[in-house]
Amino acid sequence: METVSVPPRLSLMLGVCRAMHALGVWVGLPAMVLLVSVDVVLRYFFASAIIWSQEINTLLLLVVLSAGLPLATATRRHIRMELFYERMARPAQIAVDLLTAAIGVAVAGMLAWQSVSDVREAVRYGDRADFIPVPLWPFHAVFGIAALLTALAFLAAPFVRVQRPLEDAPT
Amino acid sequence: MTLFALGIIGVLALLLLILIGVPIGFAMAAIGVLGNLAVLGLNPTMMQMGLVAWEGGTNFFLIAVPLFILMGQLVYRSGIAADLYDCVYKWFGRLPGGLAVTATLTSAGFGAVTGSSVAAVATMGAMVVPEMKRYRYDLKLGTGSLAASGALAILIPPSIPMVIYGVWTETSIGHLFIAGILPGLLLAGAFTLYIIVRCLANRELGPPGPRFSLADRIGALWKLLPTTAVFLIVLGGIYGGVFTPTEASGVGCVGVLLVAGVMGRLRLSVLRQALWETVSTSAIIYAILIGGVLFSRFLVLTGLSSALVGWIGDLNLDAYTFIIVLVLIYLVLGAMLDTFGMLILTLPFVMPLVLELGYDPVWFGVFLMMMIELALITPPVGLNVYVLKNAAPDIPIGHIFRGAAPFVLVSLVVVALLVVFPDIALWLPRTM
Repeated sequence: METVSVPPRLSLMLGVCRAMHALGVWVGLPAMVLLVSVDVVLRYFFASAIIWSQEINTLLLLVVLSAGLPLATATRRHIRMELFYERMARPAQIAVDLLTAAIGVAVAGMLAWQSVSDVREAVRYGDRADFIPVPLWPFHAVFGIAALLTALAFLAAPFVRVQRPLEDAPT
Repeated sequence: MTLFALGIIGVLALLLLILIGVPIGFAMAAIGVLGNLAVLGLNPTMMQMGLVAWEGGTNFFLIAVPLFILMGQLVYRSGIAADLYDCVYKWFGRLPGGLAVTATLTSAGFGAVTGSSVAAVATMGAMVVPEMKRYRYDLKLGTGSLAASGALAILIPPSIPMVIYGVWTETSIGHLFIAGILPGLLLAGAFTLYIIVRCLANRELGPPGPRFSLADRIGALWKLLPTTAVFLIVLGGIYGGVFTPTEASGVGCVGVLLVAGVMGRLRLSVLRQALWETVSTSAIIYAILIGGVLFSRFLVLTGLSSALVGWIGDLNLDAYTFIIVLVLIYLVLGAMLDTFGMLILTLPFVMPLVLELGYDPVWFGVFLMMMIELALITPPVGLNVYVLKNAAPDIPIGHIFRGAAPFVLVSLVVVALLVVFPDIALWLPRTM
């Protein structure tokens, strides 16, 4: 696993990103594994099924996927082409880093902004899962918080030092 | 400005952003958002962004992505591959180039339970390179075979890129998985044959290993059990129609957890690392998927995709010429991009053409996986080669790339076979 070091003023933000990541690691992912496999066992061995499992699993998937975004951003794990970047002069690299931060802040910021509106709508209309009375607004909120943290992480990423084994590449 | 011109400018801007090193997912999202803003305005664009993120994040078929990644992480970190290697070595180590043959076959087996090529290379490299040095192997051939065979994991199911391809193109993931089996075995066989022929022609390239007694070999077979059990549960379940791929991914995770637990290898640190990495990798894939969808919706708005389809259609390319053009494009892209970048960036352009020209999307998925495999061993990016270099720091990177070059040619021969005989991929799914 990677080793991450940050300037003291950014350690709080990195801690929040880690906490968000931990939500996916210790809640979302284990719950998905459990729910999918229990549902299979019930269906094939007891001719019964959890009717809400598919719906809850998709919501858990959103938690897992969005929870991982801020830390992946802060530790610069997003897939990019480094071939030319590595050969650029330092000022050009800084310019690319600034452009990346601007794009990341804009895209993730817009997603966070939109999710505020999505939370409001979900609360106003009482949106909930079809087969179980679980409201949808907390999931919109988790996504919104993750998007906001991702936007902040884009700003912090140039100051984070990461040492990562190549085996952790997503391929 | 016409929509078409806007589309061209968008594509050029995207290429520029990717070339200078902006993360691919966010580069695609930025161009997609800017394009949509220009065409649709602020409110529809914002709503579309929210919708794309929500639909992508709650897509039932994508559940298989984190779960298969977790399964692979657990196999990788619990050392199950070492047992597989030991068994294969006792059976095939005696052949000319036995260590390289063992590494190739073990990587194929490892791919059948992980779907991660870099994990296969990292694991095999650490185990096999010291042995190759001990037996005075030609390290160009040895490391080349390791880097190339690691890439088999993408073709042999379960394969994460196949899941992404299936979700993106609305192709049956189960059919894709089953279609990858025969080409994967064929490629593993072709690599093995190449190694044996080279080592028969020049025995010093890869001397045979020690001979093991029949009792030893049969005794080692039980070590195949964990891998075989997981493979049979996952793929047998999908092939037999017992599980959907999503269900198989969950059952596979539980299977590996049980196997690792029974073998006493399920430590909390292993579990934590596997879960942590799974969330990171899944999030990275999610970012690139959201960006890809936003960009491709922009392309649809501009009519660029349909114009491209019309233009290629007017060229009246025959089936083989079109595939040769695609092979060349993917070889060039593979030299610059990684697996998911290559996949998501090209699908919005290529898929409409593939469907228009009447190719089977399952067959094309397998073809695409083979092209992605090549990207992992061709310079200058060649991720597998760099992972192997980590396991063997004293071997120059150029040696490994040169060693992998013949395997690229072998792979291209198998790609040609797949083009001429599409049933290599399509026969097995038809029997489902």
